[in-house]
Amino acid sequence: MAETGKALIKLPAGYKKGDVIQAQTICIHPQDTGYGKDKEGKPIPAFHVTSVEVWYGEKKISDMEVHGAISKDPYISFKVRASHSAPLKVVWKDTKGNVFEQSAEIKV
Amino acid sequence: MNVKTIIAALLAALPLAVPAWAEETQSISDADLALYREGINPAEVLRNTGGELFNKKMGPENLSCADCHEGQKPKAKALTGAAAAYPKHNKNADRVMSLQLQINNCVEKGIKAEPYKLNSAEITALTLYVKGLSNGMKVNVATNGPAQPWYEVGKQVYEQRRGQRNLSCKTCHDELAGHTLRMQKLASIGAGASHWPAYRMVNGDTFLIEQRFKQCMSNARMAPLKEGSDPMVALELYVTSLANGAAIETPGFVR
Ligand code: HEC
Ligand code: HEC
Repeated sequence: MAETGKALIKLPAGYKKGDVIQAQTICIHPQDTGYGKDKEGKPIPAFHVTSVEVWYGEKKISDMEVHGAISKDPYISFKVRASHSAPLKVVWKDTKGNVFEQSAEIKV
Repeated sequence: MNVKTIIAALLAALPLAVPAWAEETQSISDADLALYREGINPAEVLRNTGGELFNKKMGPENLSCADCHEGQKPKAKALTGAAAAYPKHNKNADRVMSLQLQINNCVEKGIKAEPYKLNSAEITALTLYVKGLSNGMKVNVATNGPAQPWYEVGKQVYEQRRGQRNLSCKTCHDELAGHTLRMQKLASIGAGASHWPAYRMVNGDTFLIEQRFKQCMSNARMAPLKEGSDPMVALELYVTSLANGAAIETPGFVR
């Protein structure tokens, strides 16, 4: 059962319009560096996240480039001002060209 | 059958020989662990998958778990709070069942589909989901009545020294609690069972408590018991009974 690419976004409870809130997000992903070997001694090719975009409604509010493998199941946390009601969408891209998306509603 | 014969029968599958070895190489400080706990537990993603599996229609009659356990006219009771009593004696099967075995029993007899492997991501996901329905409630497993011989066996498995290093669970978790083994503090298991299934940072994966037992067994070079085997389920019952009264908080997040 492949969990890779499944993501989760968490927003705090009880914020008001205009508050700066801490959003948290995680994506299940192996983050193979490309330097490891498997049990037979064969190299494990690099397989990691290459970029993370954050969209607030129609607007892209952040664009992160990732140049190497980070921790397994990467976790990213960032602040955002809850200025209007709209979905907060996080888009993960990886070295194999996969695109994973997850959204959570900001309601004010 | 009297209690002694049942105990002897249950213990028949407990190997006393030496297995292949496996070691843990990493350790994580308390401060780091606390920091990571502020984030998202990756096992929550797997629990969501468990929720999807719970609602997935399968088998010849196209049934889901939810079809029987939820909805307007449920065929069986809702599962809120159910997991708190597991492992639990099942009358029809005449044995103690872990939550995993009970879920598989429903897959086989209710859904009439192939049961999940007891070390699969699917059974872990479903177990996490069903156990999550008891979060905040107190662990309440029975150790008397028909469960008593299983409890006795579980205690015996816990205390039995076996394997190359001649260790028992009790050696590390009780007699040597407070000491340090390599870079790892040994501690009493106490109410630990209340936070399993859990995500283990050293493995970067989510495990059932029986899989955690197996990891301890191979670290201690005991032959690992099979998931769902009689001595393993008895051990799960004993260790879970140590958590009786503690609030269930799953998924756990541990080293
Ligand atoms: C055809 C109906 C049916 C389906 C489908 C079904 N169950 Fe059940 N389930 C039952 C019945 C009836 C019982 C109680 C009697 C028993 O233990 O056999 C039960 C008992 C249980 C229990 C134990 C409850 C307790 O209080 O001890 C759990 C946990 C459970 N089911 C989980 C599941 C899961 C998870 C699925 C999906 C994989 C599922 N069931 C699918 C009918 C069903
Ligand atoms: C060689 C020593 C040793 C032996 C023997 C041993 N364990 Fe462990 N066990 C550990 C260590 C070390 C940990 C990790 C503690 C930590 O993470 O802080 C652990 C963790 C655990 C945990 C997780 C506790 C929690 O709160 O999450 C359980 C459950 C457990 N062991 C059960 C067992 C059982 C059952 C046995 C016997 C089959 C056993 N252990 C044998 C050293 C041992």
